[in-house]
Amino acid sequence: MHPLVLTTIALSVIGLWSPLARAGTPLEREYEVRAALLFSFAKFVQWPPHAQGEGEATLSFCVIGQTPFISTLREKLSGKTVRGRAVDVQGFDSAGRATSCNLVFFSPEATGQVGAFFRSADARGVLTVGADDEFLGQGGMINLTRNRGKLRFRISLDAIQGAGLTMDARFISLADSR
Amino acid sequence: MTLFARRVLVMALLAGGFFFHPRAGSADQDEGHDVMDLDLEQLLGLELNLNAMGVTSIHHTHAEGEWMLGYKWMSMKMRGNLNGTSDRSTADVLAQYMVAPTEMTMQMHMFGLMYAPTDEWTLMAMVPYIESSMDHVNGMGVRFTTKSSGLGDIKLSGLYSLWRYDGDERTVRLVARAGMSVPTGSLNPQDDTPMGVTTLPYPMRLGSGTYDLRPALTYMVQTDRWGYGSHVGSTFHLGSNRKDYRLGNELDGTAWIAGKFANWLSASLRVEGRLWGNIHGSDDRLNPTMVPTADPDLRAGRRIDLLFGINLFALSGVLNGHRLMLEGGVPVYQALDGPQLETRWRLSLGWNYTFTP
Repeated sequence: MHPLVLTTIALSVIGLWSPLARAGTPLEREYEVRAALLFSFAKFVQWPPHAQGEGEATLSFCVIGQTPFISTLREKLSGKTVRGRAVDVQGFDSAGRATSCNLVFFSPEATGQVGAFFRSADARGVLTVGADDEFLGQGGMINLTRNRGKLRFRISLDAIQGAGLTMDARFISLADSR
Repeated sequence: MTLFARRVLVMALLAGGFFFHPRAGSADQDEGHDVMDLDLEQLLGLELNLNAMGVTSIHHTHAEGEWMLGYKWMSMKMRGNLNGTSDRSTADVLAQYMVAPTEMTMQMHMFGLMYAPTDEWTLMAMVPYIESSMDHVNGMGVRFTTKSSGLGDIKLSGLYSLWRYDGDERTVRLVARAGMSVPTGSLNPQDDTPMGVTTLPYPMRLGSGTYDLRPALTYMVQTDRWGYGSHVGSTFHLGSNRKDYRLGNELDGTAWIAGKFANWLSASLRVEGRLWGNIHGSDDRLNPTMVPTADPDLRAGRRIDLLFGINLFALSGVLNGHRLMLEGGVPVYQALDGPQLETRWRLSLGWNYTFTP
């Protein structure tokens, strides 16, 4: 085939591909879906009356661990509200510094800090989400898992109820069983 | 079937596979929407396509329930002869043999299917169609070309995820391959030569004629921006084929790095080394004093190639799950038990489509 024809075909494919592909790398894609899931979880949960920041205008999402997911979460939740409360995103290296949070996400690298977090007084009334097989066993409430190439979640109802949180029945029905 | 007709058939099959697949051409669940607008049920149905970035030649595992259809066209050009690392002119070869090979083109159309029954196991079948052409000149100065084409050896493999780590900074995989090759390729290609219709020599054969074991080990790391890894594999030919010979065993290793240049484009740089042995036994239909390609003791060699590739991928939208790959390379080192044809370049163009029914 003539090189000019080949070049034309190659440029056409690239030109058509770029606007149709639309997405980032696989990890970026997972971060986006994960951010949307956290936002969705927050809509299903009823925080107890004594929860952190009750009555305030913001709902605080905290991420534990140095992870690029923080910037994705900030970008995706910018301007979003849950029941009229603006969502605010904060990142912390250490779970000990994550006070005044309504939802705490532990990056897989920070799963080792879960136990210490639950021993602190600030854990009461906080929805905790992780992405590690050990997360529920350490007292976490919702664990995100990859299953058949999709993000799914498992829950610990005991941990959720123990923290005084109430979850919608439809949310519970969508969780994977252990 | 003519070459043109075969190419048209291949393209038609590919186009048919794409357009008649139930999900082809249709938008996936988040088409036209920000994922933030989806409800919980829709989010749980989104596919992540974790293998979208990467390198064309490296086998990867899939998530449970995933299928992958693939097609790859590969071309390799050989020209001139080498003995060790030294060039041998055609006149040098003709001083020893009645016929000298001068150039060879090998093209392969590889059709692949992968399926993951579990997150740990991925099964793979690859069906090659091979077209080879070799130019020669004899001592009288007569130039002639021989051609062979047909089904190659079908390869069946199981890929097992020995170890995995899914972190936010990186995902890591250690994958073992237990593979075998089934002798479906012909050992009897024939073509016209100045000496009449002749059985073609070893490099023009379409298969090994033996059942082959193909174990391999692959280590892969993928971060937000980069992917890198290494792979080592081998091919052990078992027993002897129906023509009383066995190809030399092979060892291959590769290391690569791939980087993201746009949200739909990555590029890769890869080094690949191969080491292969001489043929054991011989096909008594061939005269090893006629042409070096008929000599079972002039088949071994080792080669290091440097390859550059680009990879177009999509994780959502109408192209969700589709991937196009182009990789080309040249040898930076080769030493051959010669005279043996010297590899000049290689090129591959591939497409694959990952989906969950």
